[in-house]
Amino acid sequence: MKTSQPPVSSPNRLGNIIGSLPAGVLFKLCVGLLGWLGFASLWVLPRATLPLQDVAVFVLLSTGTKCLGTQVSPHVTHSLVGVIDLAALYIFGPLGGAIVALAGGSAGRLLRLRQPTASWHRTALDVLFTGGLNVLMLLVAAWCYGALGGSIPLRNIGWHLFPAIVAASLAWFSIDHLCWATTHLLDGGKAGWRRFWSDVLPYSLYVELLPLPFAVLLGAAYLYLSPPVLVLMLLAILGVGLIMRELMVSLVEERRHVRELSTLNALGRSLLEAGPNLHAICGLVYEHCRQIVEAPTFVLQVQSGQENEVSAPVAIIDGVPLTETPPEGWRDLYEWMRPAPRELLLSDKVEMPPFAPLGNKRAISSALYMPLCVQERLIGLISLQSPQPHAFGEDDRKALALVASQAAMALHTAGLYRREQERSSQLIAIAEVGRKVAAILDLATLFRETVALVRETFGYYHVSIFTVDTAQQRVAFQASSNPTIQARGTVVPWGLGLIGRAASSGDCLLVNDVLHDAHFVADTALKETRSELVVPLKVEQRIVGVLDLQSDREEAFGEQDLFVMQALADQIAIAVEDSRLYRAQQEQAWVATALFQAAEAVSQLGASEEILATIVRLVPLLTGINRCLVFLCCDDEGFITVDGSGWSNEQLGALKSQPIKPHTIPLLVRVRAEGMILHAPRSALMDFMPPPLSMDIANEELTAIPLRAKGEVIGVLAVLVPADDGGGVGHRDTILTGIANQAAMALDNARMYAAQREEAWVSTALLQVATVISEEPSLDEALTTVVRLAPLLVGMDWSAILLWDEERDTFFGARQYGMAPHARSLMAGQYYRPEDVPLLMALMASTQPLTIQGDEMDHYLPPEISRALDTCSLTVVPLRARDKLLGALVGGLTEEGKVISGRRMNILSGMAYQIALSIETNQLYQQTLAQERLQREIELARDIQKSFLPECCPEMPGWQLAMAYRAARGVGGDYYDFIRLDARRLGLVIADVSDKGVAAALYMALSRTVMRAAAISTAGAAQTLNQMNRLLLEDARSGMFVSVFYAILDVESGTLTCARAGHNPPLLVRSDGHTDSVMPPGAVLGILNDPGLVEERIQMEPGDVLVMYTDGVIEAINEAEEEFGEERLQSIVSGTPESSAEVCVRHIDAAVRAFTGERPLFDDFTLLVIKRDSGH
Amino acid sequence: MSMGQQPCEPSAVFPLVGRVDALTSPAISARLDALQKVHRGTICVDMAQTTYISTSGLRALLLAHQRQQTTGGRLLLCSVPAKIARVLHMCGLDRILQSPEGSGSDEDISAPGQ
Repeated sequence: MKTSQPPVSSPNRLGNIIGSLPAGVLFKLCVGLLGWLGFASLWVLPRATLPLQDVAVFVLLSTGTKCLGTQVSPHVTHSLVGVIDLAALYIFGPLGGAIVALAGGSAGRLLRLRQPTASWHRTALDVLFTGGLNVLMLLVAAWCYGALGGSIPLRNIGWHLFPAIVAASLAWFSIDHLCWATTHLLDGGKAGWRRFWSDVLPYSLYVELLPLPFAVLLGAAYLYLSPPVLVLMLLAILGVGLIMRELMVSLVEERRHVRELSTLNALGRSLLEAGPNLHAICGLVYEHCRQIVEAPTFVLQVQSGQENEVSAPVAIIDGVPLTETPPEGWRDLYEWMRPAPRELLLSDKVEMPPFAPLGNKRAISSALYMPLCVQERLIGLISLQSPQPHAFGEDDRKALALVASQAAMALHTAGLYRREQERSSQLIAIAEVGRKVAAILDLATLFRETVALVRETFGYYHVSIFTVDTAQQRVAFQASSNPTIQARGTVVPWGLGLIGRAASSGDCLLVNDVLHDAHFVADTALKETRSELVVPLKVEQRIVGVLDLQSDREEAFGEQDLFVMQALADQIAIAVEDSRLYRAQQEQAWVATALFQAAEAVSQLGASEEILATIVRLVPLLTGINRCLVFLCCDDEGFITVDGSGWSNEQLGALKSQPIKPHTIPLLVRVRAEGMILHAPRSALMDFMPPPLSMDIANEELTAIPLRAKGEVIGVLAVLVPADDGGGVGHRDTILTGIANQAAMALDNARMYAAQREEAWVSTALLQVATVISEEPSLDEALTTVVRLAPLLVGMDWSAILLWDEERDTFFGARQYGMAPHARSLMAGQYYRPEDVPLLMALMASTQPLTIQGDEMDHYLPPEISRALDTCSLTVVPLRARDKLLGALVGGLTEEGKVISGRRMNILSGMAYQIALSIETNQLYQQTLAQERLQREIELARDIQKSFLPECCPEMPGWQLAMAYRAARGVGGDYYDFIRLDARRLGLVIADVSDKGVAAALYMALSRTVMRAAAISTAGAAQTLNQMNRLLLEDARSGMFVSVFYAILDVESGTLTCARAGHNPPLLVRSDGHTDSVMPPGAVLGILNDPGLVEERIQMEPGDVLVMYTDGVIEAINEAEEEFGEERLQSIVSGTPESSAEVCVRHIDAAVRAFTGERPLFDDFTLLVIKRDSGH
Repeated sequence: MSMGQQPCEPSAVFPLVGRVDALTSPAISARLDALQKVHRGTICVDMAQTTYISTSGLRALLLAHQRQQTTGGRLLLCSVPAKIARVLHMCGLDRILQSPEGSGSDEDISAPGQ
């Protein structure tokens, strides 16, 4: 057995003792020198002649066999060279055998050391050691062989040689393996010792020890067989060597595969048992790698969770484990490998990669780099380095590649597990933080606890939390994990800095190098900040706050942190919102309770003063403020201070009930105008107040709340709040507004109650006045009583009543009461023209009471009246009924400064209205009396008029006369008459006096009388009417006139002589139905000197009918405002030519009645029909 | 006195609307009287919308005519509907109450009391 490479040197105690030479080298040197000295000594001892040619053949044979040796382990080679060497011993003796062993071993060694880069001294040492060891093995074997009776050269071959041969073989084998085991022990320690025996011995027993006795056969063949047989035997030996080599190679490969599989299996089991523990995995990987190949420098780098973070859990530099971080060069090596991970086997330093030296104290001659990849992504790196060239072989690379793949998978799995574990732990932490913060209901505590929990749980440098008001674009600091910032707070402008930008945009902001970020705003208390993560707190896309996390490391935040913090931010946002809602509900409940208390307190009060006193007492109790004032609005746009609390009695006394002129306090004017709550510095109000009220006001602000009732501001509640009291502003304003509304409502109710009481009092007073007026039998007595009541009910010193004389257009004094004696003469039946008294002139143009006082007295009253009245205030109320001026009620006050209040003015106005009604009623009563009297006169006139009208138609043989008469009013203007002129002639008159009524009746009577007189005194119809006209004109003064149709009928001849004075033309219906209008010219009588009358003569034949009528017949109108009309009349009379005159009249009357329906007659209805009998 | 075909240049126009009868004529007369106190020239009574006139209405117009004549003015009827014109003609008052169109003859009214 021979080794192909020296084992990897390692420090040992022996090396430290003997100095700089390694023990293995020293041992090899000693063994080699000893062997060479032994070989040299053989030349000194007596010796036989050697067949040099045969020895040379054996040397060549030994060298060839050596070269055909099989490497069974990385450093050990097996061959049949022992058979050749021992055969040479048995043939040529110790010297020949030593020559063959020395030459064959050295040449074989030289031939196997084919690496060109091997150093000469290493080669020389190997040759020295190999040749010397072979000589020693041979000499010991020769000594054992000779001592046990072996013969050289071989003779008498038999079983007696068996012990000598076995002893020589065992000696040769033992020396060989002991020396090589010693070198492994010296280089690799006990592990090298154990690994040598475990790797080499099983093969050595079969391959090297067992064939050794066959050296006897080879020797015997050389000595006793022919050369051809010997050659054949030698060839057979070489063939067997080749076969064995191939078998050994296969066996070694198989064994290596099995070992690798078992190694992988063991590594896999170990990795499974190690679990996700990174350091345990790395330790296992190191142990397995060391089992495969020893290297003085072993570094295992792995990549942690962050992309660029690389650690070295195992780092052994030159056999020394490192406890600190490996030198920077290792990171450069990893970064060099990262872009293109690949296995790298370097056998000499000329092939070293171009990165910086790795910090080894000794120069590196060979290296093996094995990347740990998952899906072609580098997650780790195994680096082995050695100062010795060719320290790592291809087999090492393959074996480590398997370990690397297992390690990569294990590390990847561990990383995944670790990340999941981290995420799980973070989620647990989030849940824990969320659970804790969710249990906190107080907002301040919530914020404080949240930053503490987050900092404690995640270990950040600084944690702070802010609330965001997007409507007002404001970021408010709430809590910080830094005590300094927590104490002083911090201001974050909207949209500026990382926090301001996150608050305005609602986006997460992650800056891993704040020193190079333009938006980062440094805080003096946080100088170590290097990274910052700002996460907005959102509830349903509504930004409620910002969580700010700061780290003192660059690149401190990754995607995982962002994810975790967003999840945490959601939990915190919900907790904040819940807390806000809880606080809002609490505030709402408190507000409701406060308002209920306020409502309960004021609702039980009746008077305004009590309500105000209660309000100023409740406001400090329910809102916590110290001072308040209540102002009530006045009618003149001004205010009056009515009550307050928080001031001394002297302070309030200086202000209470003092009127505040309009527009002197801008804040009150604004509140009154806008009707909204206003906040202002105290100077807005208090600077206008008297100094005693404002002198002790310190740092306070003013809030003014309107008192609104039915949409109208009736006052202002002003409260003073400490300027630094920022808490509870919202609900305080709500409570104040509620109290103000309750107060306003209560005040309004109180006012309404007082107004109702006043109205009731006024109504009672007026009822009293009305009762007096109604009970008094006459107006004079009523006025006398009322003028006495006025001072009693209104509180005036005196009163008087002036009545309006419509005919004279003057006022006259009717009644007075309470006036001074010298002033009574002003009222006793005195007449005053309005143009003489400006007050009365103004009164006539007014419907409202007028009050004059002071200097106005001289302006509105004549000086003598003003002096006589000696009154400071004078009130005049017009007495009007239906806008008609009836008089004036006058009242005076003699006390200066005293005025009649609104309520008393109402009573005065009511009394004036009652008096006016009484006067109007009296006037109506007088009018009614006059109308009744007139009606009686009309009835009498009607009777007289009816006496003028014929009650029936005259009887004339051969003629039929019929008539109908209805007056539209009591006394009509129509009339008809029959005048018996002589035995043959009958005058027929139908007339219509203009206008209606009594005047018309009188004119009708006059006309009838004149007509009768004219008819008797004249002959013709026109002559009669002209005479009548002249007579009427003589007495015409009223512009009245009369229309007349006068016909003189000759009953025997049937001749009808007629004239028409503006009257409706009669209808002449002939017996054949032909109808004509009888319309001779002529104007009405009583107007013109010459009415232009023309007389017409008509011959009435038997059956002819003459229908005379007034306009009341044809102008009768129906419900549709249609006139009956001449055509309708004409159709009636022409349609009944055979009817009698009576029937004709009834038909016409019925037709007109049917036409007008229920409508009363508008004008007098007069109808006169004459018909000549058919038989005449 | 003859007004002939002189153009109507009324100093005032008095609209007479609807029915002029015993009920409405007192008020119309009062209004006309008030107008005549102010306008002493020519007053044109616009009868375009007069639907009916009774003897009471005729009397009111005659009285107004007399008053206007007394003060040297004139009272003219304008836009007289045919129906009203027929009534005026029937009564013979178209000789007194003239229209600017000159449908009636001009004639003196007997002075009151004469």
